[in-house]
Amino acid sequence: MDRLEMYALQRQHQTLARRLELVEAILERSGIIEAVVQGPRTDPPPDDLGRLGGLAGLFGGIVPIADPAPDDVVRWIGAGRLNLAEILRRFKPGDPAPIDISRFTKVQLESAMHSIAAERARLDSLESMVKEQMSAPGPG
Amino acid sequence: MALIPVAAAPATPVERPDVDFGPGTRRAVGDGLTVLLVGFEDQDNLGLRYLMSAAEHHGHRCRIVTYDADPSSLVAEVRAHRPDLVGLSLIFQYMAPAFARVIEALRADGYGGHVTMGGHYPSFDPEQVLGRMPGLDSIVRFEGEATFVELLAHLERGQPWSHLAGLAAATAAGVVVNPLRASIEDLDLLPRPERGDVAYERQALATASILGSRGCPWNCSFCSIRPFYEAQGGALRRLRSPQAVADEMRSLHRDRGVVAFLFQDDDFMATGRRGRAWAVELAQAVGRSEMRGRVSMKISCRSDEVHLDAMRTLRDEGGLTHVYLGVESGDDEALAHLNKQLKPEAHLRAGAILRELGMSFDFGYMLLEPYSTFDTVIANVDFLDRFVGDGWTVATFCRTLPYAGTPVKRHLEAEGRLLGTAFDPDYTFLDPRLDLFYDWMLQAFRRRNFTDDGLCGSLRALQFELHLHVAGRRAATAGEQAYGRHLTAVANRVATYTLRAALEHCRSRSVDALLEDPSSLIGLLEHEQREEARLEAEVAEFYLSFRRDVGDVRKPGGFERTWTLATSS
Repeated sequence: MDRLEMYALQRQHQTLARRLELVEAILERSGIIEAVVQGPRTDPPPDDLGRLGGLAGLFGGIVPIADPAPDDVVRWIGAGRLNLAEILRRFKPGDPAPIDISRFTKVQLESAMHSIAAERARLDSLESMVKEQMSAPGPG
Repeated sequence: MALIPVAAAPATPVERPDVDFGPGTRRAVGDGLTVLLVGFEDQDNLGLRYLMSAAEHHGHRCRIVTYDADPSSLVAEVRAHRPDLVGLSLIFQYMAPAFARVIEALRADGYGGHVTMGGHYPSFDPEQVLGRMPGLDSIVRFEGEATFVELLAHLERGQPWSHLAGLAAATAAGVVVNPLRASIEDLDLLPRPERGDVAYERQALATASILGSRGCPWNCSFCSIRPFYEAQGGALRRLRSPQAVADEMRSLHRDRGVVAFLFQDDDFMATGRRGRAWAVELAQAVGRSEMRGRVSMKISCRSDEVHLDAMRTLRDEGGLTHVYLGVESGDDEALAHLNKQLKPEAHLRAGAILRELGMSFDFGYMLLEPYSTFDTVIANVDFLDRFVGDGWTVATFCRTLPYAGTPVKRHLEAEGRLLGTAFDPDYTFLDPRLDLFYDWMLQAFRRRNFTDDGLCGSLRALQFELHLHVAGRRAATAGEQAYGRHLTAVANRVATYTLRAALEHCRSRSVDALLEDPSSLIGLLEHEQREEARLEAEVAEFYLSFRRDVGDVRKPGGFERTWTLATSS
């Protein structure tokens, strides 16, 4: 394995590790971590938690999950293991709700703006790429 | 504020006959002295290889070793082989203290042979270099082949050498700077650079540097190329014959398997119709040979020298796939300070032509220069969005540095603004808030812009390979090129957003306020580095999969030391 391959694997490992940490942090805050970790942990983090985690990441300085997989949402909710409303109800009174932006510092808000700008840059570029492909001659 | 002493202007060149490199003067290698040349081997280091072949033509046995920051390996090499002369190639001015340590280590180990040095910086400032490097015997100034060969001849015969034209020498009486030697008029008389020890055959993409010309007629304030060649008199730009260049390329392609040629000419297309005609003739010489369609070329030139018809011929006949543009700035006022003698629109036109021809390109860009204001810097950032916001190439940026021999260094000295040391010159900006911004910028973008593993290095290499057309390797698909552009566009837009946010933040506050609360700038730095880490992973993954798919399972080659994600062989 050359240095290039090692580098790519290390980065993937780090990204996955950060995603797991983020999900665990949210679940711990919501008080439902025990229910989840006891079950089989074969699927990647669910999309709804990923979105919450993404929001928490924006305001808490944690790296947001980049590409939530929609299939995960269906799997989690469909299996009945987690209920989104239930998750929100379990946030303890007095703890800051992760989406209550009035509680966040100037730096956290700035960080959110930076992340939004970065995601916008990605989406704009992806849009350009797709439009270019759509206008290219070729098989419909 | 301490002033740096102004280096003495070069003396008037003396007319001396070129050293003879004809067949009648060739001697068997080994009949003369043993020479060890030390320098960076980035992109073959043609400067050293031309010296090597000149010396070997006259019978001296030469070896090149790569410079290493740790002198111990060089000391061991010298102890083992006891060369008669050690020649050091000082390319980067800031490396001077490190080279001083190397010389000190050699002398401490008991080496008693001749130690000489060449390169831009020692040529312009021989008194400083010889004065600060005890143990260094001489400096071969400016174009070195003839002076170097004469020095070796005098050393071989045991004759005095400190008076030689083109040489600066450390003597018992102090530093002596001799009149300069005239430059070599006919570059075709020089032996081809020695490449026997370069392992082209082991490279995944066998890539060789090559020279078609020397010199540049332009007079940009930050550049020492013109002063370097102007010092010795003669034409500001000298051309090899196109057929001679094509013959050297053929030899490397046929005998060594080279498929990519990096022209190291300071300005390949200079100037005007004559320059274009020469470049086209060279491309046509390549096109008439078996290399047609089988090799790629890279050149460097100005934006206003990019003409559609000439570039198309260079692409179709010569295999031109990549151009390095001396863009330097996208702001009118800054371009005037840099004496570029063109407008930002010239860069946009050049970019449009190269895109139309499907060529990759990269460029130099000085976001800041000694006379920058917030307005000019922000205009430079905005220009980056216009120029490369589509991701055709990665945006890189730095600031102007006052290298030895450059007009900007002289201006700063005259203004009393030159700071730092002779080896490491520096200056502060007219607005002190820009100093804070620049210090932050260096930290925030250090990995991205200034390391081999950073985004600039990896994306430059990726874009080069996505536009490459060489024999035995499939070309990238439109989809692969589009994805490469997407990754690059994101890298560029993230960077310009970060730069703009930091500039606006610094502009709207006093120096004291910025120092009292750096939290916003720290937050921006963290954001930039987070996004870069994310992109690096994506680029690495794509690059690997692309390499596997084109059948290139070996490690990246060719540009590895400066362009690709570097791997050691």
